[in-house]
Amino acid sequence: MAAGPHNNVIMRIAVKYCGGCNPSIDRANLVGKLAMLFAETHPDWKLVTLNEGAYDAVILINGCPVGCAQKQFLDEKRPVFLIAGESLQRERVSEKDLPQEVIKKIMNLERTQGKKAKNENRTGIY
Amino acid sequence: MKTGQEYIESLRQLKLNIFYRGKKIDNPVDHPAIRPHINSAAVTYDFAFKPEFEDLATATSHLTGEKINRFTHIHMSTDDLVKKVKLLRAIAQQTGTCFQRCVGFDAMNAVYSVTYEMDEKLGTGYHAKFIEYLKYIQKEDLMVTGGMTDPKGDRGLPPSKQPDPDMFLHIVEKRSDGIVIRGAKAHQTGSVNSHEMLVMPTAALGPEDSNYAVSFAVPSDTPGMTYIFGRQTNDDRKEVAGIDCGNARYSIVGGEALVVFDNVFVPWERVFMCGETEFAGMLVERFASYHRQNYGGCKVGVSDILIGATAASAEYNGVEKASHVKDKIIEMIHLSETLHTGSLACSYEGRQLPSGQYYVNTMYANTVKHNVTRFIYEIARLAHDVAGGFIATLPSEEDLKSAEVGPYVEKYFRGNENTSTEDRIRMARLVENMTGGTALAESMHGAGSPQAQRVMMFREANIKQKKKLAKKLAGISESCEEKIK
Repeated sequence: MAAGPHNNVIMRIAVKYCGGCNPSIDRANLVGKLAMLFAETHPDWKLVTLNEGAYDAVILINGCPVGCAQKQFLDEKRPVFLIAGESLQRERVSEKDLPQEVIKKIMNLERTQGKKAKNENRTGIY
Repeated sequence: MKTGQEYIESLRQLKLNIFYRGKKIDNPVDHPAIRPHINSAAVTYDFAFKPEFEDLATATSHLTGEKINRFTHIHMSTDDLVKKVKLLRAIAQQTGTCFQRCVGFDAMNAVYSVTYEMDEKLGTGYHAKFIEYLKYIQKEDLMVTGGMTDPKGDRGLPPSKQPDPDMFLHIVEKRSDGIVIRGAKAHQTGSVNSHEMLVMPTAALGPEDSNYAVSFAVPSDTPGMTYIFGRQTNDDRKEVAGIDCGNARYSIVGGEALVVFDNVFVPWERVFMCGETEFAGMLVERFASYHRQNYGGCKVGVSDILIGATAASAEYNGVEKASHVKDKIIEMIHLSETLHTGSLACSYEGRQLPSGQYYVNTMYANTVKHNVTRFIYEIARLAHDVAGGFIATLPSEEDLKSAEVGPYVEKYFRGNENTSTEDRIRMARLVENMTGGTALAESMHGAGSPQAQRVMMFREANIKQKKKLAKKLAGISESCEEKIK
């Protein structure tokens, strides 16, 4: 997916946090678990920050259902995974299950994008 | 931007003249009475480097385009005002107490706006000087304490009629290179661990009080400045910094001091008001309103912890399922979230000032602060009710760990069998810490006493218009009233 010299990394997934005014989930812990799961099960996926440049998809880590981090990604062309409190893509998911559910969504994205043209112009929340 | 550790180390370079319990403190950074407050302020620095908080904790300077710590920012939109409130809640959820840095934040926003309007009307050159000062603060990421409250002496007399002229801070000399200041500022939150102090008048002033209409900034270790650090509830427990502190790392409230100015020299480039009495009231109101906005942010974050401590205490006591206990916790949540909505409302309803910056809705800012003077007491009362009387009668940590009486403390202070006695005591001490004397009095008088908010609410309520609405509905025409008169 991502072009460029990233060794074995095929998909770069950016993480963007909300401001964290009153989070109902432990956002940093969630990202830590995702990083661990990526390393264990999908070493070709890499979590990056927005400052690190190119990315193929973005995970918005919001502490509550308001989802403040979404505001600046409303026109995002790349796939967006929206975590907002105990929800993923606005569907209820417990905090415990969020990491695995995110991975399922990314795998689904990979499958979809593998079947379709690489440059399909998919927009918004995936 | 500075990290928390860099902030702490930078304080070591300052040579403040601080006294506590009759003795001069040579090393305030490591002093047990002061260090917890420094730890709390340091969180405001560390937050700027945490990806999970940087959206709130940082901003882009409208002066330089640089990324800066939000506590040095001028609000340039209602979004900035909202983010301020959310940031305060987020930090308070970590510290459980005051982190002090909002005072200077509000003072800078107030002085920025008033110097602009003063220059527009009077042709003074304060705003450009203040911008230079602000750039310096932003670049160095300094902590500024805002100094407003004067000792005031006889509250029935204006500054110039006081038997002792020093009851209000004032100019004693104007020189070619600057001014000389004498007086004091009371209850100065975070003053002993700030790099700078930004001083403002304490009240609206008449022409006869022109020497009291003064605003300026000085480094906190300027010669002639003396800090007398205040005592707090149970502050001798800080010397041990154990379980009995309740919140050993961050302590209680902000660590306040009386700051005495004994003929302090201020160079002209740091003077932002000097005799312009007609703008003193505006500066007071700006600062007060920005500061009152805060209280549904930080106090709500603190209340989040207290609600958690109360719920945990109920669980440790084995009464968490009792309906009245649950109802009391619900009431705490209701009061706390009501405060938060007030602070968010005054931010979303903010407006632009002539300087271009944004200012809170003053009616809502005063309303939320006024509610804080009541709700925080009620939240504390409910915490006491649910946690139990033992928060006021607990033996010490030494007794808990004593070979002789420790087993008795362990046995007779136990709650449900799934909780250790030590955990139950720790939680009780946290409740005690957060609801004791000093913590509550700050909710009453911080950012102004309740009557100050009532005065502003009445002034802004437009009673004339409300009467007009009532008369219209009651079928009373203005012309009939006029005829009767």
